[in-house]
Amino acid sequence: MRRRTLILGLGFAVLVYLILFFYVFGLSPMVTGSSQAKWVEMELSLEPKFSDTEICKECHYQLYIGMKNHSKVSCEACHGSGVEHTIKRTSDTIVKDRTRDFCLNCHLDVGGRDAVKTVNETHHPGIYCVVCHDPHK
Amino acid sequence: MNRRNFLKLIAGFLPAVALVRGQNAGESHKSYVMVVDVNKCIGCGKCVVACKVENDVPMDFKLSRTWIEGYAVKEKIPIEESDVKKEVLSTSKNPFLDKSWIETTRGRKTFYVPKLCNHCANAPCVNVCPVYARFYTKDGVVLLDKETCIGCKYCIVACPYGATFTHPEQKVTDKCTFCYHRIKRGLKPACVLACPTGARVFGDVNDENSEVSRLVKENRVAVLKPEWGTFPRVLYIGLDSYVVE
Repeated sequence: MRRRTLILGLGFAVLVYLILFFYVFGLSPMVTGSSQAKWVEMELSLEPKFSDTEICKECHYQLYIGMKNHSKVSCEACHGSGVEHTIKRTSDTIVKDRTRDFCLNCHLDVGGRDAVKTVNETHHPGIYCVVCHDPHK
Repeated sequence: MNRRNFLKLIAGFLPAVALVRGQNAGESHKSYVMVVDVNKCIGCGKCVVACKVENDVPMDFKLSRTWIEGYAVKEKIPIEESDVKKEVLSTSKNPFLDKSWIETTRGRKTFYVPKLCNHCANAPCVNVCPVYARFYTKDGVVLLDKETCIGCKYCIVACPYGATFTHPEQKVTDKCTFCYHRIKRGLKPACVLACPTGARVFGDVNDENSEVSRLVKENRVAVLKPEWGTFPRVLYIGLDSYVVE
């Protein structure tokens, strides 16, 4: 009688241990990744807000082919996210910043800017760059 | 239940576990990598703004998925700590256009290092996460399951690159996803798209014809903090060894 109780108790303990073991290391939703797969689907369902130059080109083809200096720069680098603009097609859904500071964001003569042409503040101070330089040419 | 039946029951468990765990084995996947050319970065901060717009990150520039560090190193040999000056992009517009930074860069070797989550192949944040909220996707991107995340901030402590932070509204951690929703649609990540000089290049290194394969093949690339053994997926061309922090 006592021996039988011992075997039953041990068997029960082993069973619980094995179930826990397989759950923790093999079958729990975290390890099998079912919750993670759900999250990946959620990530994929997000809508992009930045479009592509290829899409801008469809309407603004003249600007696109006339571009020389900024030809490798994506439209949305300067004009901001464009998906809303592709749907509404109004001028208030896109950024058109003509100020001097906007150009100098990239073109001011700070150290380490070897990749772009730079100017310093002595170059016609206070005048908007776009008066003389067309960024789309 | 006798002993024989009990053993049969246990034996039944094993194939089930093997089936669940082995179902993803044996497929070939993409291996996404970002190559950053430090020589081309001009520190304009377009990538930071684009990332915030694309991913609904708050416009507080201390909480960024990607950011730019400007380094101004004294020419000749720097001998003191003050010879290497570092500035992190912290203001919204014209990040480095304030007078103090222009004064700092005068007569010094200056370069800008864009930083983001390195999507390590052996990520400390994945290793320490107590609830398995951080995981690797099949193409190597480290993602964060915000529904499982409990906001314990272990990952913030563990990340050697400081690439993760607590989102002030969602109260969970937040980090770069390589714009996973964009790259799976064949678009570039927002920071790569917004970079005016092409300093950031993103692509699949398993694809022989991709731009990143060519860059990795033709250039000497370095990673940040290789001594941590994290094997990052963000590779830098022309990285200066003063980028130590």
